[in-house]
Order: sequence, then structure tokens, then C-alpha cells
Amino acid sequence: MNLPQISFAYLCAKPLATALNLLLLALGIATITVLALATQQLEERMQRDARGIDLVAGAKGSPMQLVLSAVFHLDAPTGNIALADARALAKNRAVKRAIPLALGDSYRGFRIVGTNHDYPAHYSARLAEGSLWAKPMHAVLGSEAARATRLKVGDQFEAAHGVGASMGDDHDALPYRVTGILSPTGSVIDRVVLTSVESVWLVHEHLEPGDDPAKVLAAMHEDEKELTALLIQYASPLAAALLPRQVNAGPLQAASPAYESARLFRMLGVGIEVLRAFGFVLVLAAGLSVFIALTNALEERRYDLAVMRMLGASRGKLMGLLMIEGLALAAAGAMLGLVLGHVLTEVLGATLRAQQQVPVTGWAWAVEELWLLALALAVGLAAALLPAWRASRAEVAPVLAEG
Amino acid sequence: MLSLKGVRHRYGAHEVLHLERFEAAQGEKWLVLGPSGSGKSTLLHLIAGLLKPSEGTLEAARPIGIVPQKLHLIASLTVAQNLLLAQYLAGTKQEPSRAAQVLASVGLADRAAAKPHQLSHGQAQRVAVARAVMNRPKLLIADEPTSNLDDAQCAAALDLLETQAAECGATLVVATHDARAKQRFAHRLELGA
Repeated sequence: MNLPQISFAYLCAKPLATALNLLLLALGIATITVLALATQQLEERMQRDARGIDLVAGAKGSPMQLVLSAVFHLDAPTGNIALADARALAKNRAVKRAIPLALGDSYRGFRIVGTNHDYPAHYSARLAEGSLWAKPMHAVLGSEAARATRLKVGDQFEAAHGVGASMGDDHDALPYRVTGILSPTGSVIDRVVLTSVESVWLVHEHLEPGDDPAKVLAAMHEDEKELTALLIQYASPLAAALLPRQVNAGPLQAASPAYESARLFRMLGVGIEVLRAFGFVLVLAAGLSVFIALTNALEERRYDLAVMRMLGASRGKLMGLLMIEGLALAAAGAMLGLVLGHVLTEVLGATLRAQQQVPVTGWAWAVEELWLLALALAVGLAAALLPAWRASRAEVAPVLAEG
Repeated sequence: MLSLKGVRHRYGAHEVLHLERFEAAQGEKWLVLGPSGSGKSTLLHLIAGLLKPSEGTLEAARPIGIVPQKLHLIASLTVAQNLLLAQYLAGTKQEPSRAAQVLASVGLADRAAAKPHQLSHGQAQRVAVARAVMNRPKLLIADEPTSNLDDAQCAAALDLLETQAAECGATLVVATHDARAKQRFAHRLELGA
């Protein structure tokens, strides 16, 4: 026998109360864990996706929508921009590099991104097999897109017009051919299909079978050639002060990924904080419940405590008995909560992955979890402290003398 | 073995016990008789060290085994665990073999894994006695061990206490208001109301 064994026996003797206390604490910890894991991964992912992109230039509209659509491929584009305007901006002395993006189509939920070879280079993407696109209607799949669509090098597929919820008819006259598949990068490029800008222009020209793509492209008027956005890297720090103002004064709109991401998190932050506060309220309620359970236990166990004193238990041992019960409940509740939190995050991640949204996984750890464990133990300790002290002061002779 | 001199005990201003002199030698069997409120339980609690006398000196050999009136077995522990608990809380080495031996000696070898609520009153009383002798006491005290028992059970309870005390070589002090116990004890201490 030892104190943990005795505490465990007492906890097992009240399975319903013990289970309810565990559940209450676990739900609170799980809520905070899901939020910690999801926000941490979301922030890391957005930082990684936006790294090296100082500015996004696109059609006028919501700057956040522009960043979400062009950098993270989460929202619908704000519209298209004239190729001439994009070229003029790319030649600006304040621009070190401008990566063109032509959006508008998708394949089985994965966006088709018309761009140049600078785009995979920007994300340090390497080919797992095949080669990059060499001419129009060649396509290279990100690792996640390849895994989900099961397309292989040499396969052909037809793009659907639109992205996400706004998908329309297939462009069945002009299929894409897969020339390469990228290795996983842990960035947004894993979830897109890459091709040349010309491919995107071609599929919107409604070609008839037998039409020569090269001739169609050559015949296209400059006004018909449009882009969706430019991902810009500044040539110097000074450009950050000048370029956005210049761009916004013209036909295009400039949006900063860093600023818009921060703004998005500020907006989401209210909801996240409300949920986090709810989690903390659950943890505190669990602490209160443990306190009530242990306080009630004092009355139920007054004979037991008196007998233990009679058998030679020190006041410290009786105090330790109740403290261990509080701590054991807190530790078990916290562990259960952390496991539950990871399982729920993985379920949430699976749902998001199925919708080609930002990937979140339960197989990750957040530093906040260590604090949660410490918080739970502190709550358990605090809840047990007063009942434990009262147990240590338990009267012996009067209780044993009760007839 | 046990010696009380000029012991008085008061709860507030109310004196519940006054014992000028009481001595018990090793192996003796003592019966403390008296009606309710005469201070029998207080005397046992003083001997056990659960109370400190208001006045006087008290010397008692240790360890002391106690069989409380209400038995008070720990309901969430098994019979064997209740016995080992006595050793753990006393700070002595836990001996499962000793628990098995003591349980066998009180006729409950097959009830080691039972919980207290699964025992009859007679069995529970035997477990309480077994728990009291786990630490090989030099002094075994029992508070009202025969209350609410019929004659046969009364005799069995006293037999058990005497046997266990003898096995340990302990002095036995039994407090009761039950006159049926009177003829079994050569040494008697009568407390007044």
C-alpha cells in the first residue's frame, strides 16, 4: 500500500464522479489544445507561404481577398489585370522579381496556377518525377494534388472552369498533360497544379478539336491576354514605402501579405479568444468540481481519516492523500484532454484536407501544451489544497467515539 | 506495560475521567466496565495516544492495536489492503505474508480480496481485530466489542481478542458496558458514571 494506491482506490470507488470530473477537465484542455494546434499551424503555414513575397498586385477590390487568393489560394480572385499593366509594373525599378499568376480553373478542387518557373523556384520545389512544363498544356502537380488526384506523369486531364465553390463546366476540348510531379515542400505549392500562363489563356479561347494552340496564341490580341496577380519582391527596403502607393494610384491594387495576414489573425483573434476563454472556463469549472468532490469526500471519509490517524498516519500523509487525488484527477484529465485535442485536430485537418483547405494535422505539438499540463496540475493542486489541509486537521477521538 | 498515575481528562470544564492509579502488566487481560458516559472510550483514547490527558502521567508500551467500536474498515480497500494499510500508516515494513497469516488465524483466509461491504458483521469484526494485530502490538485495546451481539457472538468476539492478544503476547484492555464479559476477565476496572 502507498498513498497513490489509496487515492486510486478512492477514485475508483466513485467512478461516475471521477469520470465527470475527468471529462470536464478534458473538454476544457481539448478545446484549448485544438485552438493552440490549429492557430500555430495556420500561422506557420501562412508565414511559410508568404515568405519572400513583399507585395501582391492584382485587380482592385478587397486587399485581403487578393492576398488570400494569390498567395494562399484560399479565396476567389478579385478579377483580372491587363498583361500590359503587369509588364509595366514588373519593369519598375523598385521591383526585384515579379512572378505572374493566371488563375481561374481547377482540377478536382485543386487550383490550376498559370505561372513561370520562378514560382516553383520561389518555394524551393524539387521534382519528384518528370520535368517542369516546357510548352502550353503541360502541367506539373504539387505533391498533395498528385496524391489526391492519383494522376501520374503522362496522364491527361481536363480543367474545370472556376475555383472552389464557383466551379463550372469542363474545358474538355483542350486537355492538360502531366509532365512532372513535385516533392512535398510543406507550402501552398503542394496543393496546386502548375502550368504556363499561356495554357490558362488557351483553355479560355474555346478551341475546336484540331486547332493549333501555337497559332491560336499567336492570333490572340494583346488586350485578351490577362493575368490575375503578380507576386512581387522588392528591390530595396525603400520600395516598401513607395511601391504600394504607386501601384494603388494606377489601375492595379497592391496588398501586403504580411499586413493582410496579421489583419486576418486580428479578425479571427476575437473568435479564437472567445473559444480559448470558453476552454479556460471549462478548466476552472473542472477545478471547482474537483474542489467540491474532495470537500464532500471529507465528510464521507471522516471515519476513514480518523481510522488512518488511529493507525498512525501523520497529518502530512492525510494531506498528501487528498493532494494526490486532486493531482491525479488533474493529470489524467489533462492527458485525456491533450489526446482528445490532437484527435479532434486531426479530424478537423482531415475535413480541411478533403476540401483542399489549409492543412492542419493532429500529429504536431505546440509549446502551449506544456503550459496546459502545468495549468491543469495547478488547478488540481489548488482545488485539493483546502480539502487536504482540512483532512490533515481531522479530529480522531470524537469521531471514533461516535456511537 | 501500561501505567496511569493521577490521570484526569476534561472537555472544557467538564471532567470525564479521573483515574488515580491503573497499571497492567504484560499479557494481562483487563476489562474496563462502566455505563455510557463513564469515560471508558476516553480512557482507551488516552491509552492509544489519540488524546492527551489534561493532568497526570501515562505510559503505554507500543505498538498499540486498536479495535474501534464501529470497526471502521476502509470501504474502498480490500480486506488484505486494510491489513497492509495498518503497516503502511504505522511506517513499518509491509508484509503480505503476515496479512495472510493473520487472516488465516481469524478464519478469513479466503476473504482477502473481499471488500468490507461483502462481509457479515462478524467477519468485519474479525478483520478489524486482524488489522489491530498486524503490527504485533504489545497492547491490544477494544472499545465495546460485544455491543449488539447475541451471547454466542459475544463469546466468539471475546475469544478472538483473547486468542490474538495471547499470540502477540500483548496486554488486552477491553472497554464495555456489557456485563456478560465480566466473568471472563480476572482483572477489572470499574468506572463510575
